[in-house]
Amino acid sequence: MSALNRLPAPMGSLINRNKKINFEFEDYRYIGFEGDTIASALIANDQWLMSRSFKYHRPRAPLTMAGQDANTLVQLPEEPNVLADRTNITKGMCVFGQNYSGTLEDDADDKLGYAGRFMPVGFYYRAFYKPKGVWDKWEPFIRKKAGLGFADLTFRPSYYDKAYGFCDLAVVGAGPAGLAAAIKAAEAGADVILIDENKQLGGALTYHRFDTQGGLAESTLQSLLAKVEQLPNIRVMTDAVCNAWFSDNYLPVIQGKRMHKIRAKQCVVASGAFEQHVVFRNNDLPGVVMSSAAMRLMKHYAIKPGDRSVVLTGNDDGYLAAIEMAQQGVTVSLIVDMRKEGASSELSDMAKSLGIAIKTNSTVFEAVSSHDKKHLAAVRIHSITEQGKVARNGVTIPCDLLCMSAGYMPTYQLLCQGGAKLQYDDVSARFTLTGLPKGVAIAGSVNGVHDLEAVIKDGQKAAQDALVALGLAEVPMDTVVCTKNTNFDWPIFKHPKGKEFVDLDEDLQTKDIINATRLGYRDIQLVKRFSTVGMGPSQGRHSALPTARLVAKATLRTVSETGVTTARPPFVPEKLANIAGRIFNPHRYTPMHKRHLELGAHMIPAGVWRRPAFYGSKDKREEWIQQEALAVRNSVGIIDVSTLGGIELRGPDAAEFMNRMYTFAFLKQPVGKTRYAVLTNEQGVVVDDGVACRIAEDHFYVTATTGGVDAVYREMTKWNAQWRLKVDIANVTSAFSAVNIAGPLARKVLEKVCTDVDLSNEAFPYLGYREGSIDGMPVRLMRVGFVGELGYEVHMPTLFALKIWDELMAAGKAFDIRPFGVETQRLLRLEKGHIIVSQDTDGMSHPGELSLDWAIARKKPFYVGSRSVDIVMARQQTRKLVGFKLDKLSSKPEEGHIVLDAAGSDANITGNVTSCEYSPTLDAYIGLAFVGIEQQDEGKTFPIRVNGQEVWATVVALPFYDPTGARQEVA
Amino acid sequence: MAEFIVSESAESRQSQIFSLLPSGYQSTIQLQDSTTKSRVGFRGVGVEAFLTSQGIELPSAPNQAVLSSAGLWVLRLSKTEFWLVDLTDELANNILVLEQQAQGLADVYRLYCQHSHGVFEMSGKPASKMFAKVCGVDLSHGMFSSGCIAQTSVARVNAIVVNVSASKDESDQYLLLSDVSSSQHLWDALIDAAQEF
Repeated sequence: MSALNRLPAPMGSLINRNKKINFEFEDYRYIGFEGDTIASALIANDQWLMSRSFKYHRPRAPLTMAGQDANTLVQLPEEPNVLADRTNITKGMCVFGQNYSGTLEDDADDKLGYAGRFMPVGFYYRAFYKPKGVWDKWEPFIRKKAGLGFADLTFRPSYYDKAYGFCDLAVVGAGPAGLAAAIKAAEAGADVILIDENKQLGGALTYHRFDTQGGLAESTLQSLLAKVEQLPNIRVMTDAVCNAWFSDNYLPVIQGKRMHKIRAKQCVVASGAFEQHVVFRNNDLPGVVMSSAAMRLMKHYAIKPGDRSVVLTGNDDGYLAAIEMAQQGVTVSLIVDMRKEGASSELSDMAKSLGIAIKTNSTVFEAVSSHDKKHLAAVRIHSITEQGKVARNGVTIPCDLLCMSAGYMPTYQLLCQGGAKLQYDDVSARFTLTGLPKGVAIAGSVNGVHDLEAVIKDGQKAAQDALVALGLAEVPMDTVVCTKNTNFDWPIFKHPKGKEFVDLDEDLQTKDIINATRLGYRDIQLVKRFSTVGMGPSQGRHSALPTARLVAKATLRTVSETGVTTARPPFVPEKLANIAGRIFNPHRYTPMHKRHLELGAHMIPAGVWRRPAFYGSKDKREEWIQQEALAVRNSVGIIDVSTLGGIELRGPDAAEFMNRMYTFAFLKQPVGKTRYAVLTNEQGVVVDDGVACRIAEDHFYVTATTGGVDAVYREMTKWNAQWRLKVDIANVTSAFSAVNIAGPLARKVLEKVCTDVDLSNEAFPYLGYREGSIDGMPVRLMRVGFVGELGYEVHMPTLFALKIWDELMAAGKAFDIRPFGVETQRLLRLEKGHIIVSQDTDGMSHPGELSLDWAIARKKPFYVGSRSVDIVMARQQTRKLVGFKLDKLSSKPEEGHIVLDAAGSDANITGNVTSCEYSPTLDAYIGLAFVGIEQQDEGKTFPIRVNGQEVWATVVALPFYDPTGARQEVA
Repeated sequence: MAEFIVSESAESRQSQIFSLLPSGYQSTIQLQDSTTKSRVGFRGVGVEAFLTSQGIELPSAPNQAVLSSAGLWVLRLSKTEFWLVDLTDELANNILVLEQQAQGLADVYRLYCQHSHGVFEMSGKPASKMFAKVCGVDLSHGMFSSGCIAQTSVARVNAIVVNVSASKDESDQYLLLSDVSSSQHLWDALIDAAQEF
């Protein structure tokens, strides 16, 4: 067969014969049709060899044609490990094989097969580590040999995203059971999402043969599809993999570059079953395929899978595949039926009428390769004498295709992720799934139902169960019974020369599994971990059952006692791009953000906010900070403090509420005044601080730290849920933006734009609060001194903030106003000895340690944390936050550097540095640090370990700058 | 102190969206930044009576919205919280008057939604599908009809989504209100999501 000379229609349901596509494989040019996968197009070109096996570099070719095996992993220029039987060819596509040394056709590493005896199961656990140091020699070699494919490190990520989906019923799998379930549910009014990993609906109906005449699948499919099309409440998702099942039917469905996160009220899993291989010598040769793979090649891609075929089966489906192949022009020499009784007379007669010989109670004992070892050339047939044993002599049948069908294993992965248990009947070799998660029903072959009529009924029954749960139906349907047996109980035939592969991904043979049990690994999970069976890309789809059988036999247990390995998400390999693609990272800007950028600010994150650290290039950080600080000290500066939290408390009990929340006394706070507000938690730890403004008797506006405001608001609402005070609590952080104008000339700037407030020291003294307007826009003014100079915080409704900023900057131009950033502000407040909660405090800091005793109203009966504060402050104190100073020529301590009780290696830690900066005003390093209680006195020195060396700091009185407060309270 | 009225000086309001539609934006979903349009909010047990006394018809239940005869969208966000939004941009004075009249009333607390929230208007039939890309709540047609409000997370920021379509049979007009400081992030996320449609 040539690439374009395909079987006549209706074969080839996936290809468009009118559109040819050129592509390359291993630098050779090939041609295929639109709709071809890489694998189908290559097979159409008689190129079966597509990859090399992981361990022994054996030649490998498609086994399932359904993306269920690792044999078809190929390399694309930008992506390794692409499944050739699921990836369509595109014009000019360049495809390569993987895991070879030299060329795919002539792989130097295929000699590793001869060294197999030196690489027994689990050998890597017992090698490469003796004598000491030998690993260093092995590592480069192993690294070179390990892994499949190559990652393109120049790869540029493309756009992946996510979407949510909602439905009454999600049906996973659109084979006959899934289609029937979706139709039944939709007809009853349910909103249905129908999900299938394949490109077309129908599942087995698109490739399997269900009757001797061959028309049943197609007529059933067309009937079901017509109904689906007529039901607008079925949303169809094809080429979409439901990659996991999570609680409450939360289903991640990957479709192309999008991950759909589907929430389904009910779920029907009709995921079908994986056809199982027969374990015999050389069962991995190219040309040895599942019967379903041969059917897919014909029905989907119109490809004649071979010229001369043998079918090895343990069920009737092998006969149907043989009949289909014979009718499509393949010479089917023989059906080798492992069963003693063979198939029904109808099937046998039909096969015989097509010239197909039948041999029962027999098996293929060995596949024989062609001279170049890259394809099947013949099979040796032996009679079965007892379970797993064959007669001494057999016959050799030449063939280029062997189709296997040992039976089916339910596609149980999603269900077992949800807690279902897979049960196996050792007598009938049938599976059942029990303990399904709530809201999940199963139907079809995953439920052990294989007869087509029964499958459709089973789908309808599952849908009916879902409808009852949804309240759209009342009476469940009767359980569907199917007696059709598809599984041969022991399709494993150990050969004296080995190479009967249980797990093709990992090149594991029967002896490897048996030897693992002999080494003491009796538990199936331990066998998996020791041997790596089922850990390859196909995740045990074909190896799980024969492994369970072999372990069961070797440990004298039943398969049901042995069990299968755990199925975990994801169901198929999932790209990190699908998980990571388009993540939302919210960030917050102040209204002046644009202006900061225009002024050349170096922006830094402050939680989710972006704030100017300083204005200027990062490489001159110190210089800009010093200049900005001097501007504030000598003339005037302006800083955007819009990120400050803001909370409004309104109502008759507002003052009482403030009094209970904060440590200070607020009942008698005068209107028009501000007051420092410290918040402790129930453990007595200082968790936030701010400034409380009393706007009216029943109205407070209190600021909170940028990072703490949400927690403060949450605490306030939580407490008032208990207290039931008549107060409205509103988080107004975003509603108000703010700037701080600070410096000796601050008043002069402000009075140019704010003309309706008397800014004189008498009318508006330090710690006062006023309301006024700037150019008609209302503003709240606080006279504060965080940076230690005459200063006003201007709080304004946010949509006015940019305009007010511009007006202040214009007004300040005559005074050389300079914007300053948060790092400069940190230096200035440090000079003033003001703490920043969370920077200069930690999860243990109580008010006494922070010298905040003055901010506690001892006489009031209660505030949050009051009892704990009393207790912790009554205890023997162990540390204190103090100001320190050290020479500028010393090494600069950084935040977190430890404070010691003495110099030397035996010293004990007594505290840590919380802040430290060079102060141009003091021409020295200044900082705050927790020190031992014996170290707290003014004038004492203490060591700080800086980069392994001790520097000695001296405790000084706070504040460092303007101790009388004359500058901030300037008249 | 003098009254502190935040609805004043409507002409001085400035949105925080500084990068609007990207060049080449093509979508059947239209987005409009209406942050500078007028709105006011009230909370408290006296609000229902206050607004009723102003002749404003109110939604009967929380998370419902109605278009008042005056042309204001009235959003009931809880039993005692109401926001009034002027999408016509012609009723700024009505909003201002409401804010002024509420001053000093017992159990009526003004909210600053005029300045705390950015406002986007979104139109186009696929908008309900677009929401599936940015919001974990089912806002699809049929599940979230005209007059419904969802207080939810959109692109990981808190948002109030209101279906303001002309009738229950349509889902093509939406109003989004979200924290003004993250409105640029939300705007960018919506533009990104909308370009598929």
